[in-house]
Amino acid sequence: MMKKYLRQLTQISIINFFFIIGLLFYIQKNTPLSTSLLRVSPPQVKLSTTIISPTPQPSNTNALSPTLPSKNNLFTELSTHNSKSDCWIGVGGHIYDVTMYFGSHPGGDGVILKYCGTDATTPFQSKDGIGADHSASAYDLLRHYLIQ
Amino acid sequence: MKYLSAKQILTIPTFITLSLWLLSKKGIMDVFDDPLRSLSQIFSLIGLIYMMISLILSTRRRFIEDGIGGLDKVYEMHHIVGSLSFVLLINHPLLLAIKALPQAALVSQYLLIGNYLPYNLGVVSLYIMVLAFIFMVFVRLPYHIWLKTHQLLGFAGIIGSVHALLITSDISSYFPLRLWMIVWIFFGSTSFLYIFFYYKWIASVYVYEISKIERLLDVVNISAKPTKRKIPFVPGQFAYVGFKDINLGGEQHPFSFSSSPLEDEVRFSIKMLGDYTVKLPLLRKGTKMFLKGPYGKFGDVYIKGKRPLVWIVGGIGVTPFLSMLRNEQQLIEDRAIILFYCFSNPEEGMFSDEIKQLTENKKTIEVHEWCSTQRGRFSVPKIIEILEKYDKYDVQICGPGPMMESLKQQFEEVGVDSERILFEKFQIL
Repeated sequence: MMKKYLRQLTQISIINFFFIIGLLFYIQKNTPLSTSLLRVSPPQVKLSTTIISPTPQPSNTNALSPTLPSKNNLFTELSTHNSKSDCWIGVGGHIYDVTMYFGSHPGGDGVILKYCGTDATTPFQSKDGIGADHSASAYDLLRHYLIQ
Repeated sequence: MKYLSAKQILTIPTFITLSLWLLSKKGIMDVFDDPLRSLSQIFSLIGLIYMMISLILSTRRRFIEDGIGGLDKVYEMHHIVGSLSFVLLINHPLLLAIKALPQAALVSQYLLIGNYLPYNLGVVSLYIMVLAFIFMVFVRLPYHIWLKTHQLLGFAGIIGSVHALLITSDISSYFPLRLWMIVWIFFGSTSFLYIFFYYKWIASVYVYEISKIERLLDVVNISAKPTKRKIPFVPGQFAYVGFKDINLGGEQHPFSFSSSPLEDEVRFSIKMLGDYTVKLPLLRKGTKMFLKGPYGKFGDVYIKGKRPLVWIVGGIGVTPFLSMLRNEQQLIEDRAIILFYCFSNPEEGMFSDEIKQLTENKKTIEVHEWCSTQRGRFSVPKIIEILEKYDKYDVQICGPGPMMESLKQQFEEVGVDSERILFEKFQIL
């Protein structure tokens, strides 16, 4: 009897798997790229270690984000986006809105939350002090959240 | 004798894994803050442990067989634990994906190949598992192809383990949990590599040469003599058998001995049921036969026990009983045995003559033939009068799966302790 239920559970799990995959492709197809964040080719991020000044110099703006429009200077706002519901972090001279990433970091939300509204370059490059930098792929993932 | 059940084997590892996972958290809010993520983490950890246990169970090691009560039971447990691990592991990324909806980028990170190697390993492992299980629960493949898809699960386990150790997670952040998982991964992966490479290609085999092949309707009797050493089996056991024959390839299948260990030659009586066994009549005298084993504990109660025995045989399930009957040494004169030989039509009762010949001088052995087309379906209430003359007896049943399940239930209903009802299940790997 148990084997019968286990078999059914296995079948349901496989069907669920393909359902979610189907749903994913449906969302991709029907959602504007800018909101789906998939297949977006964000501007290349230079992995510099530029320290973000709380009040950035206007003359440096282009140097920090050469490929982005410079109409907004979001660095001035960085420290105000410091909560789980509105979290920006600075990494390598850029700003990322990682609010939507909460719940997805393998190390838990806590490791991101404590750096909301701050320059997280050093913690990011040392995995919160462990010592090793995040992989190139992790940087790729981070690019999806680039706002400046 | 008490043997370990799947429940007993899984309880302690599950408890320790859950405890270590809880200890890895900063507080209880860390667990309940994001229930879907917590559930997903629990699924991944326990699923991985179960997968490693399933791989360890597949090694065919003697101590595992002794602890669980026979290789057929071990493989049944391997099947249950493996299926449980699959259900848990497939739902690990699914829960994360559901949580991430409708953010397609995050969902795809869990389910599609991307740029992040540790995640990709998890995704690859997931797809291999899904593919292999599709061929277990939806699509029926020829055995030799199915076996290859099934073996892929071992690779999926190793790839999934690397994924678990590389990602930043509770495993990486909490050393006791990491150590616990590494120990299981080590034993599970080693077990898979052992059975996939060492057991198949290097482990010792008993080499025999076919001396006689005879076909009786849909049953093939294969007799063979050892080229060097004899396989040391006891009545009721089976071996994995392979042949050096182009038609049959290198497959190994489990078959019960139908000869006695005291005889010079071994004999296997095999019913042509599948795509492999239908080719057995193509074998020729002199073909090399390779045996691995022996396995099984079905004959233990016959060899070591003292109580009267009730043997219920369904069709080709007669093979281990023939081995026991032929083993003159073990046939204690005062050991009462009641044998019910069941078959659906007289042609199927092809071992009747052999059984009669083996038992004609044994006064304590009663043989009852049961042809279901003449006497109706065999059931315990129909034989209760015969059984009532014994106060306590052990029951050995070997036949088709549904027949064994049904009879076990019927014996329990008439007060026979389930521990005294023994099976031999053919449907193993």
